Amino acid sequence: MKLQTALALAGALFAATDSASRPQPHRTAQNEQTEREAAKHQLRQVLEHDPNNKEALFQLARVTVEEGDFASADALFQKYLAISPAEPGAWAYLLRCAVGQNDPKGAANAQRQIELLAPTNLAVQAQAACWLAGSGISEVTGREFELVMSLARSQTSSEGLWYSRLGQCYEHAHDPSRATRAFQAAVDLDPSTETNYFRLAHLFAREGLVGDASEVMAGAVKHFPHSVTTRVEAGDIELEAGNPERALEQQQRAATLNPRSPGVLLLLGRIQLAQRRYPEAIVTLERAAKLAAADAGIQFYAGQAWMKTEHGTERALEHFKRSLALDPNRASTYYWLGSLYFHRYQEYRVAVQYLEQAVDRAPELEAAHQMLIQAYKRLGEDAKAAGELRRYQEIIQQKAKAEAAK
Amino acid sequence: MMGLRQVPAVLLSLFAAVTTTVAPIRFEDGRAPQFVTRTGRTARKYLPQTMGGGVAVFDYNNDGLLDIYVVNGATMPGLLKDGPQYSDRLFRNNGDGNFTDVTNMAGVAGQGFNIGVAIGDYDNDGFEDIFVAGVHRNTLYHNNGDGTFTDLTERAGLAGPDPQYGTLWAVGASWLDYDRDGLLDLFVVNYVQWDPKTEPVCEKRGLPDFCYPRAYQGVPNSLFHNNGDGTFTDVSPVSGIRQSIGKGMAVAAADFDGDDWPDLFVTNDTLPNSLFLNQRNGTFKEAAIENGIGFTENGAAISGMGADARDIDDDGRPDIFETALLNETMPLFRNLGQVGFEEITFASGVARASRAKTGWSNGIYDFNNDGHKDLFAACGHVMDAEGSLRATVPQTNIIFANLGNLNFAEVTAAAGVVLARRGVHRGAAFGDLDNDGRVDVVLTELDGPLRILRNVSPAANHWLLIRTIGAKSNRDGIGTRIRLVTEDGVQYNDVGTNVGYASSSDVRVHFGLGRRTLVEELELFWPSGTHQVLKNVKADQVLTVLER
Repeated sequence: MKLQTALALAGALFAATDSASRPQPHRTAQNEQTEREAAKHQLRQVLEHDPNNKEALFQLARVTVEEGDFASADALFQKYLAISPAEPGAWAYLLRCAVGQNDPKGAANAQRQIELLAPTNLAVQAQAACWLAGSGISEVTGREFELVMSLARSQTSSEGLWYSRLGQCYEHAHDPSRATRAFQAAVDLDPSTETNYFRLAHLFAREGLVGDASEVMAGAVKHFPHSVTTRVEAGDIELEAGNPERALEQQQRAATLNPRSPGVLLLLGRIQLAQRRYPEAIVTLERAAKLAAADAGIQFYAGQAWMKTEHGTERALEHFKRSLALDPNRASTYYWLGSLYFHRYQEYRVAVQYLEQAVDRAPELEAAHQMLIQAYKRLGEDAKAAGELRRYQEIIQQKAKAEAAK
Repeated sequence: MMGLRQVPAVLLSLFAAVTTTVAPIRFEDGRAPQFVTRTGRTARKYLPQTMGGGVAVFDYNNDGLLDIYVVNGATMPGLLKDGPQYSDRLFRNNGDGNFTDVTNMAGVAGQGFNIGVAIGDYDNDGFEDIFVAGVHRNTLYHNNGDGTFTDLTERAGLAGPDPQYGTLWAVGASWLDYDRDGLLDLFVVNYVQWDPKTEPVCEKRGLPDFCYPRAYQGVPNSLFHNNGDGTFTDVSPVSGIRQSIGKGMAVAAADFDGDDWPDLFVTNDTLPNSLFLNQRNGTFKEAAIENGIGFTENGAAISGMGADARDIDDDGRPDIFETALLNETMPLFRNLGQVGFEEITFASGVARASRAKTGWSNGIYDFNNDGHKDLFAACGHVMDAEGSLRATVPQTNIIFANLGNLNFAEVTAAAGVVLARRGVHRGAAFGDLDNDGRVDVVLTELDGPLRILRNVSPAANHWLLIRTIGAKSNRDGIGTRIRLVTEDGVQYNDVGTNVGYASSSDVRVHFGLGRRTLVEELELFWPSGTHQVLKNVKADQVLTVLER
């Protein structure tokens, strides 16, 4: 009975962490910690009675890996593999432990075993490659990636998911070259999944290869001509690629496909804003605001659009205030309200109220500190200005230290 | 004046817009010498090819006429001047509207890929010397006083690589006497860490193009103390200048905090501006944020380009006009004294017209001699002129007329057909080339010709040009503050040569006097501390003032 309960608990835990795409009930870090402790407790009790219980050992080791205690997890997996040495999944976890402990030899050994035991198991190979990505363990790095890529030829479209995940791992590891190959394999294997195109295109765009990004999205548009999402993403990429006219065109098509989508209108408005088409942006964002009056983001951007016109200050103020009422946690709204009261109305007392909120919520917002110092000075509150300056300097120093540590 | 400070700038601008008419500003083509600023165009794009174009107007032979010195690029990625097309050039003003190329005789053809130029008489011998800022190589030319120059970079101690960053890429420089010892020191603006071997490859719309500045690491600027024996000491670390890492583009030197010691404002590309306040003990304190000048009201660091610091509202405090990238506007910061700066870009009317431009060298000069300093910016986009964004790269320049009361009106279209010409403009130097009392502009274009915009503004306004000769102070009188009083009121201006981006302007100080033919009082506050007052000075002359 205890084993069943323990495994069920651990299973529930991993179902939550493994499945990124499935919607999950809201879980807080505290909930997770509580659940983890409960699972561990149960699994340990099982192991006290049956020290060689494979399932309990495996699950306890997994939970331990999740906690980042790689040394303890390593010992548990070693024990597990002593009982059942031919399980590639356990070797993959052992590799994870080796990476976590920066143990090149251990990682190389685990990778060899995976290759030996499951040379064509895409899931295990891809997971191992993901864990090795960016680890800097040169004894292994590279080989596992090529192995996964060599398996692509024999896969079906449903396996495109693994290549998409692999690409994300390498992208996260700042290895755009491998990430590109993995994302491309995902598109080739599964051209019917829109997100595969999006990931590849965004990667190209981030790398400055905007022409390639644009080309990928052209392929996506061809494949999904009636997809609003694809049009929106294509517009986004075209904007990043410096093709504002094409971005606008895609976004307008999206708006035609779904003229009552506030999200689509918001993006269209943002593109118009970026293109300095302020009167058009105002019309679009006002339309979006009518459709979704309770959307803080739309109110915020509508405020920005009005701010760009010489006589739109009052309307900007209305929108920013509405945005703030809807989402009182957005630091940038406080900043813009502060800026508006500071620059346009010279009402420094009111500006201070907003700017204090902005820096409390986003201490890294340097411009807000600058304006707050200025506002205090204008009010003759020199001590507060000096205090704010000190606070700002501390933040900068901390930031510099963190950068240096990186 | 004090009363006006209480009124919000936006109200003043509305008031001014309906009550003020402005004397026209007009330019026409002057006879510019034949010269093309070469960028060493290549299929592969190298960041220095977006820059360059520094130009200076100065009187190298003391004949009372402004000559022109213009720097040039080189092959890329070799950074070599392997032919006369890459030569830097010195053009002597013949006084009849024509110029003669005296480069070879003067010995200033230069080496390497040069970006900017700064003029100052660093050895107080009465002849203007030249500092050239370049990619991985700077040059100091000493003016021998006989029409020739000698490259004294090594001997002066200005040739060495940076101990941490190696050879630096300098964009421009400013001669200033930061310790007020009567000798001009040198502040050098450095851009980014750059090596042709590691130049990243970027593209726009599928075509190769220049990378954004975020692809490069920043560097500190440099400050060199003049030892008075022809050598300089790098005081960047001890002065505190080195503590600030930026991507410097331009510097404006002025006494921003009113303590009679020169401070420095530096624009940075995609990083907040820097304001180095002189602590009067050989050190500087970076204080841009606390003085409200690090960021614009948009809250993001802009691509700061050129800078000029002069008093646009004649309240005795130098204000700042900065240029920036397309869509960022060209920020105008009003100096409020102890409380720092306020940005008046929107309220002044500068935002709307400047938003559509990428500005480079800029200046605050009274082009129509009406007694109010106007604004000029040389414009051209950063991207490759042959790339996919080619249509947006060449741009027209922009002029704002000062309507008074901190309100400006864009008058580019009315300023003549020469202003309708598009180009990839970069450098701009300001000075009265024909001594007619109207400030002319010398402009450079990347891979385009040197141009002279001859000021032919028709208003019969009066003017005064003041040449300061220091005795206790540095001989150029750089850093001298001048207060001028006429029946119309008070005006202020400072002596200095570094203006805008990469360029160097007439050391003589220009004042437009409107209808006034007499300057009732002229006060000079020299860097040495000397206070000099002249009474009843006649208008329409070049006045030389010796420090006494």
